[in-house]
Amino acid sequence: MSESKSQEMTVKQLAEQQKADTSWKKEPWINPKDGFEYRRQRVQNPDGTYTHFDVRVGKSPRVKPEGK
Amino acid sequence: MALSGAGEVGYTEEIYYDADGDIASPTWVLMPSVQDVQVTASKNVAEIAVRNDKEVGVVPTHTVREITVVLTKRNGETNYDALKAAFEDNTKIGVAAMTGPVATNGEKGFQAEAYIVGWDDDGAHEGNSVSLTIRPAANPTTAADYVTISS
Repeated sequence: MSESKSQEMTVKQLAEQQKADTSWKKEPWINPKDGFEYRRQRVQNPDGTYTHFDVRVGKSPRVKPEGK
Repeated sequence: MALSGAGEVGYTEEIYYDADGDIASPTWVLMPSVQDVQVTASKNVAEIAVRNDKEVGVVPTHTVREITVVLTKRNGETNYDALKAAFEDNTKIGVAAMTGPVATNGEKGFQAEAYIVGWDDDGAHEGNSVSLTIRPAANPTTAADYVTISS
């Protein structure tokens, strides 16, 4: 358990901090080439920086891929 | 999740949480000092008993998922306090149980909006463990699903 009370941060405080920065966010989208839904996400690194990446959602396409 | 090897069955290498609680565009934070992760899923079933049938059959209905995470307490671990507060306050979080680092291309996992519904504390000292039980939230903003990291 943390002994540093000044460093304690609740999930709510962390959520408020993260909500303040929306510049990187993107609505989920469908890639017409494969029909899958994609989402933009990021992970907080130990040094406080962020790495952004995309995830493909699901086991099958959301829509019929283009040309098929 | 498409399995690429038998070793992935019931096995997750990294688990993350999102304080915002919406997994459409989350900011994942690695859960600290994880000892063990169990991702389980079971089906509720309707039993079909018919006098002339030799066996009672079942029809699967709802899927019940649960993620159990065992953390080791270490001094200075601020994420532990955040997770404890989320449990006490019934705060919805996002959770990602991944086969590896979440930003690595090709890693797979299950992501859901969820609540911490169990907090089994082994003791207050450094080195003691705490077991968290996490269950998907009803009426999520973004539906839970399996994902594959694509970039």
